[in-house]
Amino acid sequence: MTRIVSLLLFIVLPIGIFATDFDEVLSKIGSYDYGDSRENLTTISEMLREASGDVLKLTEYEKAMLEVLAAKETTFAAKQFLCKELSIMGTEQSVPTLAKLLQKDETADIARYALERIPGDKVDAILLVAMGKTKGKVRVGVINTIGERQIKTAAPDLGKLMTNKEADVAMAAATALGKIATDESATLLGASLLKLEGKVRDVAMDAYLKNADAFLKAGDKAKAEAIYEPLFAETESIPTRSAALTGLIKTVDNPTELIVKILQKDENPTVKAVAISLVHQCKRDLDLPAIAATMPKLDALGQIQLLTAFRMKGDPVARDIVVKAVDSDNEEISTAAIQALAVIGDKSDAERLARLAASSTGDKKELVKEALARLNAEGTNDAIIAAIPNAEAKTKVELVESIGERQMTASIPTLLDAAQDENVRVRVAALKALSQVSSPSDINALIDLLINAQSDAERRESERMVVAVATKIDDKDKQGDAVLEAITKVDDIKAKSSLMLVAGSIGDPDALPVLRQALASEDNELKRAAILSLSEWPTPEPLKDLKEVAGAATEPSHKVLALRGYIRLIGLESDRAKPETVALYKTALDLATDAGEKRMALSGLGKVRCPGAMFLAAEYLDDPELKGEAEIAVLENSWSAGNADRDKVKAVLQKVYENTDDERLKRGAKQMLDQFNQ
Amino acid sequence: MKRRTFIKTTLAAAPLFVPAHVLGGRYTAPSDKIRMGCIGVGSMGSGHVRAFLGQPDVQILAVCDVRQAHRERAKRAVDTVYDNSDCTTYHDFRELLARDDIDAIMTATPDNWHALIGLEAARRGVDMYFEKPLTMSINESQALRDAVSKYNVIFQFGTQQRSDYEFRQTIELIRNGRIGQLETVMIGSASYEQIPKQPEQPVPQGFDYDFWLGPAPWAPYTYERCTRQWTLIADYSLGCLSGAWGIHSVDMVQWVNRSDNATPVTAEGTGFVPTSGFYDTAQHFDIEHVYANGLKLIHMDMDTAKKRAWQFKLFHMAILFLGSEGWIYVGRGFMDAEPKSLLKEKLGPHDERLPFSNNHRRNFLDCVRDRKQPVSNIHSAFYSDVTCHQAHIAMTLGRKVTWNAEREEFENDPVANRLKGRAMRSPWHV
Repeated sequence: MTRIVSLLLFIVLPIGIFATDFDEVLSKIGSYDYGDSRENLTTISEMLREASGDVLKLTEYEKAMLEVLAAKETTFAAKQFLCKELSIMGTEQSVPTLAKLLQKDETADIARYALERIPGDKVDAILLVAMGKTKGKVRVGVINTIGERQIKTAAPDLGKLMTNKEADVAMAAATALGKIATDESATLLGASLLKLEGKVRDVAMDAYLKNADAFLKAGDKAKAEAIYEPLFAETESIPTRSAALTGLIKTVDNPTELIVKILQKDENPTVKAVAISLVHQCKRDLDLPAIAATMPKLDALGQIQLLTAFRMKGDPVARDIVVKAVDSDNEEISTAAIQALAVIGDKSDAERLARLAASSTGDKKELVKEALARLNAEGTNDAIIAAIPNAEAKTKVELVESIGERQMTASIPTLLDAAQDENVRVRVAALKALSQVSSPSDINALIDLLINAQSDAERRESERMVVAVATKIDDKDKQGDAVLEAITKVDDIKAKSSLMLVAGSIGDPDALPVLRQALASEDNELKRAAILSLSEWPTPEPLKDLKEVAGAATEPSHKVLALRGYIRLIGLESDRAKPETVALYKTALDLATDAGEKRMALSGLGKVRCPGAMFLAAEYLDDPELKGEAEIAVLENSWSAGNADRDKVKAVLQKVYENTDDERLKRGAKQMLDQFNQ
Repeated sequence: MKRRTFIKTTLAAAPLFVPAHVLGGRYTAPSDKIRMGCIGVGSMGSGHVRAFLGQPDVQILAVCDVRQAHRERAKRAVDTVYDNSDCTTYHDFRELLARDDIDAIMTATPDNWHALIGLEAARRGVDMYFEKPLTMSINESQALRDAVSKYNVIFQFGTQQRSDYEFRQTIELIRNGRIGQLETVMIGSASYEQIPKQPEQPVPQGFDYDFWLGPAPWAPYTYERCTRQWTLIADYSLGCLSGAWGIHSVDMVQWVNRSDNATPVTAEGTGFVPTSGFYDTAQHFDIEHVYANGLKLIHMDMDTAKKRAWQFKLFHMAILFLGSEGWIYVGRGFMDAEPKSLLKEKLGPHDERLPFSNNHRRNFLDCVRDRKQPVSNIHSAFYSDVTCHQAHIAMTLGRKVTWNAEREEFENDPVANRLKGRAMRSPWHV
């Protein structure tokens, strides 16, 4: 249905066309000029498309168009349009008219626009004549069109023109011969290189290489190689040598031998770099170990490039040289080798990479870890599992973490064992990996790990793990079930607190009564956990609970935590009206005794975007400790103060403008003031 | 001695998945720097200049623009950063490329210049960061593809979504079957607001308008023709269908369909070009392509797309991938999916991974150094570009066109094949 609607949209224009007579519309376009309505032009175009396949009709249309094109009073813009249309549907019928236009400087380009596309020997013939008769830019254009049309019979004349004193003519001739690509053109171009110099020779060289490429494409390797081979001489320019080498690699009997020879003997680093890039670009069979054997002879960048080429090639046959390069003293060679190993390494490299990750630091560690995560050789997962029991703790950490990164979901038993390891880092790594690979069916085992956590680090990681897995449960109402059940069964305060934090992060509404109950607890730790849990709640629902604690708690830290949670929840998405939000922030500001919490509230106030928020923030402009946040909140809300009392708004903005120490805010205040003054 | 003479000491390694700067962060000696020239330093080009100036291993030696004001502004920006007055200005890109000390260029000119600058750079052995789209015609794109391959230069196409997290993640998820069999992709590209007829005006001083037009058909000067909105004028661009956005999205479909060496087989559809007002490219369009494997690509402007699928109301200029077991809707910095779990999905070692890049320019510079193919190399660029040309030609002819991949031409369709090329104003030629 939508398809039909959109099609209807597009055919509105053609509906009117069919009733319109071509000649009548055509008669109106002779005076068309740039910028005029294109309605008649579009009508002509549409009618020509409609007539597609109707030779008789198109012949008549073409005839009529040529009459307008030839008319003296027809504008240049109209002629340009007609030539564009003739380029699509014109025939040899157009040749006489276009030939006349081709002779004039001002219309030659538009004539060629049509002629270049119109098929037929007659077109070729008038272009060949024009090549001999025209001069300057017109002649260059004619030669270019001859090249585009690949008029083979033009080759001898083009050969002569390559030495024309006008460089543009000579270059156009050489380019045309490059496109014609016959034995004759190749002979002419090859011979010209001995005579030509400078930019004309550069163009002729390019054309000559194009001839070789055309021969190669046509399957004539010998003819192509006969051109490439001498152009690879060290006396030629680097681009020419690069192009010749790129061709030669496809034609020589032994491409490996050619690459090895260059890597061992060629003096030019660019040519070497091209040879290296051909290692992965070349579609032919290469002896990679033979190429790898040249590594020691390469400089550092050459080695990096070759390692990169092996990676791109993705062939494990180069693995040995890559493994050796991993241990290079040159950090960047080692890096390239590690990246290559991720692609062409085998299962034994899993432990190698884990050990390397364990002994590395910083960015290199991250690089090696990623290589281990991506190593995709067959049997790698089994090799990781097998290596864990006997690995040193640091290496074990890397192996265990890789299980998570590699999404080895079948290895959960191994991770559950690792979560009981004697080394705390291994245990934490296992918890981290479990959060990545576990599914909701594992939730109870994971909660047990949380309850039995032996250290704070494990406890925090366990909390993250349980949240990550619980929130994978599709039915949101059931995400907190197992956690809530555990809360009721667990007596240990630390474990209970952790579970409550988890419940808060999940945000299951069924957890609210439990948390509210904990708020009333005599146990400070439990109470603190409940406050933190409610503070992390994903909706503003516990606002009232936190407000009460913030106002009435006897323990100062509880008061601060609850107030921060309260401010955080105010900022969550909600349907409440903006003035209500402002009132909540006012409550927070009133409850706050510390500048830190007040700043938090002012920061939230800035995002409300209403005049009330602006005026509330303005109350704090004189407080040196809060001035900065208050100024920002004023400005952020000023964008939404268009309907408020203008004088009052302007007074507040003026105050910011006059008193702020921040140039950026000063400019902002000025800008807003200017707007209000307008 | 030309490019890559910096090959002397240890250099930043090519990143497979870790950005080079992670391993770098050190001072780069001037002799180790990639020496760049910047061609076309108007609105987009000047942004590139600033960004390349921020790369520690780049030294911008020259800038080029047909507008005196633009090239002088760019020179000031370069000289200010380097605290000298060494940056050379050029009005003709050929002079800049004739220097023997330029390793690489950034080019961000109007589309009608792309082929000519690219061909000259390739012939000079100069690597290039190349603003999209590729060229104005299929023939030009073929010539450029062949030259870049022949001279073995590094070519990074400005389809920077290949270096964007959301898009790469989306493509990897889909390639690994996370939404089942990919069946249809819908693109919501840009549209535009028409402006009225513009009066002919005198060419401002310091602006070589004839050079600006270059190979494009002559037209009288008016300010609006030469602002960034030239992308909406048919003589200089395919408009929203390609350079004015479309090719970014088409490139993603090519990527997801492993079509970096292929295009769709067919293109068919309609477009609406306003008959009055200044801009004359398609304002609204609805093109359907079909790939050889049956994947359907529906390329629309945003207004049309919104009528087709509700997801297009979520975010502007985005792509909807529809699979047999779900969908992903992705735009710049935005991603939505069904099932939602896809948004958190992590890939494993046996999943197919794409080359990593999270900074398109950085990826280019790394490739200049280690001679590997960038994420948006000439081959992917070529096929994405040809796909846009297929759409444009189908729309121009008002009928279906079928592509012969082997011969790289339209199947039994001499009229469509005429539109593969377009004559250039003399003396320009590819």
